[in-house]
Amino acid sequence: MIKKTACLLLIILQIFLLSGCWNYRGLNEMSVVIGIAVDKAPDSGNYQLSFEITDISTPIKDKGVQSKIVESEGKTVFDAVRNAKKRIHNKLYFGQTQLVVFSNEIAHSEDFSGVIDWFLRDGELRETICVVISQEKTAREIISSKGIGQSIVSNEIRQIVETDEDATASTSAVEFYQVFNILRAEGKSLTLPEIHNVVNNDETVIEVNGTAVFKENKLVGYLTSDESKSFLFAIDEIKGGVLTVSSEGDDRDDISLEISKNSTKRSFDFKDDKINVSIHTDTTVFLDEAMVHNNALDDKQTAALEDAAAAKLENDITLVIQRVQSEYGSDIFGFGNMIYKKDFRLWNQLKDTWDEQFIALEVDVSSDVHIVNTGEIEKS
Amino acid sequence: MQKEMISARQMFCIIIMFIFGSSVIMGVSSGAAQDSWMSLLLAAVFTVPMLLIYARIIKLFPEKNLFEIIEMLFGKIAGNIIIILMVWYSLHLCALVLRNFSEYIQIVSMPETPQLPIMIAMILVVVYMAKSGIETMGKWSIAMLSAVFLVVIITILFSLNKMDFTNILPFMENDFKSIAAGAFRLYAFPFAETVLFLCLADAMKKKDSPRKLYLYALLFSTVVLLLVILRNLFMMGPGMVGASYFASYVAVKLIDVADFFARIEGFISMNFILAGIIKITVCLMAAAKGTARLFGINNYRKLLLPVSLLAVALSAIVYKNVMEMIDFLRFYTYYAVPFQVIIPLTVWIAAEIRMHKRKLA
Repeated sequence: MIKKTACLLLIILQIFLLSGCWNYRGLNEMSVVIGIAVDKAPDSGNYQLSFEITDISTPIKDKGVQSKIVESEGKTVFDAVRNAKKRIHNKLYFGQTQLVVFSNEIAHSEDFSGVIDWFLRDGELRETICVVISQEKTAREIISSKGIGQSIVSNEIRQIVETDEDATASTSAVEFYQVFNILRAEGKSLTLPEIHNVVNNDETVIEVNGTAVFKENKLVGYLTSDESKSFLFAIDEIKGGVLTVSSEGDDRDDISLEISKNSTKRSFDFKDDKINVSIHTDTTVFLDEAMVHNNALDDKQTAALEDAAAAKLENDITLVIQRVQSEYGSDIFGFGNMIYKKDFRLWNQLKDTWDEQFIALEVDVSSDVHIVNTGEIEKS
Repeated sequence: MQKEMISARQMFCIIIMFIFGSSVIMGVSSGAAQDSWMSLLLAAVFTVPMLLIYARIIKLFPEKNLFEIIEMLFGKIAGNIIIILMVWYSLHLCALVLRNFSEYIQIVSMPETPQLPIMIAMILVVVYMAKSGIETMGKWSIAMLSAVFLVVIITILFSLNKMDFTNILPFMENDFKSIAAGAFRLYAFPFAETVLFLCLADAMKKKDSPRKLYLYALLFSTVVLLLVILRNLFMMGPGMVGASYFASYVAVKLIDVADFFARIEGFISMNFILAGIIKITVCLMAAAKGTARLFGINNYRKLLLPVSLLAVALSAIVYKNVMEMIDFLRFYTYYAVPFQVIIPLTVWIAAEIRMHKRKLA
């Protein structure tokens, strides 16, 4: 009996000893970081980090979760992260971080794979964080602006960027682990979404503004939103967006086609020491707007419209490829990677001179567009 | 004391859990980038002859364990030397797995907790499991194997939307030599580690065919490990797989279905704990049985606690840091050869000669 009681007592005692955590951290003891902006101090060369943290001091009921900005500076990225502790008594918590904004200056002048190292190495941050480049002078300006749909702008940016491919097709979202992979991939260069500030209803808000183009580890330039759409066509990442064409064949576009489905086939052939790449896009669209007076489309008109759209698409894709070839010389389309994956022996021969070959590459673009419906209106 | 016996099915599950042990987590690294799945298949092929030898030894001496067999074949003195070697191997392996486990916990989830409490918590469970006997372990394995398997399947299903199947291209970029080198590494860890089951063979019934058991377990675990390798590769690409210590963990971290079904990497830790417990228990049991034989103690269970303390102490000093742990895998391939190949081979040859003589006589 005594033995039993003693055992029971010991077990009860364990409740106090074994429950809880070794290092308990409550919500009141941490600041949840949603977004991080990485800048470089112009004079000292230190990293300046700005963290958008949730502000749980205000009542959430009336206004939703508000955010605050904490800034810090340090010799390395992590040094700056820890230095934030000098200004805020809570330790920053990165488990919920959604977004990292890099200033274009850092992307221009520094080895990008070095700058992102801490973000991948630290166990608290997730590998699926969204990465964007700021087109403003600093990255801080992006996360300190106001969100329209959400009070925490980092959340909003992430959602805009992630759903962009489906609706507007103006940039291509890349997650952190993919950045790591692409920077180490054969014959492929990195692109990241770029964000700038615009004035909307007298307030400064953010807007997605195309794609930042990297060459090896450094930022070399930008594609506009329209060019990004053609770029997405070329890499088979397009899932939505609008194609505008002119019904008269002039400069004024008056027909809107909504992209419903697209598949891009890419191939290459190697003849006489020259690589030829061909791209074929096959797009299904809905006619969603016709700003001209017309009758119900008959076969012939539909065919003409489809041809016009296809011709425009071919032209657009060719133009963006040519611009990237001549201005940036960076294989963001992953043509080299395609060769590597299909025929790595050939790639091993080409790889040393790929930069020059890419610039001189002949790309043959052909497009098919199919209009499958015209919305709710038969004729206008 | 009555001898414990387990069914073939239970043994099958224990062997599979043992092979999963740390490899489901470590993501089975072979160093052959996108060709590592070929290394895995090749490793499975390499393993078959060794497993046949192990099975033959068990068949020749039914309901006896390796230590008894060794003593019978080589006599007291030579036998004891071999037993000491095998005990060292199981003890060392026990410590290595324990360390893998605590390093993993420290890196991914509890950076501020010292490793020792984690190891002690783990080893207490393991000792409890070993004390409860191999029968209990067998039943437990049946239940938990389905949990582990389910997690692998679930993570694969939920990661389908993020998989990039072109990651497997180009085929055979690595030459045959490096694929084979990767295969040897996988052969030594985890497949041929099943040599430790020779030490538990006395719990196997005479009528169960050890050959079938070993080969089916090998087949099943190869298929699941293949799924794991391909999941990691399709999710992350060869670059990231090669760069991560715990590839499976990172791959599952990427799962995100409609912003809703995400952050399920805890499942992977669960897998590791479940399979890791079995692996450590088997090592510990083998070590305790060998020690008992060495000192002529009848009941090996008395030795579980002292041997487990040795294992904890050893695991605290085997590596300085995680870099060393990963680096050691390279040497392990060679280090394990005497225990995985030479000793079983000697035992087998001696056993065949003895059987032959007996038949003649």
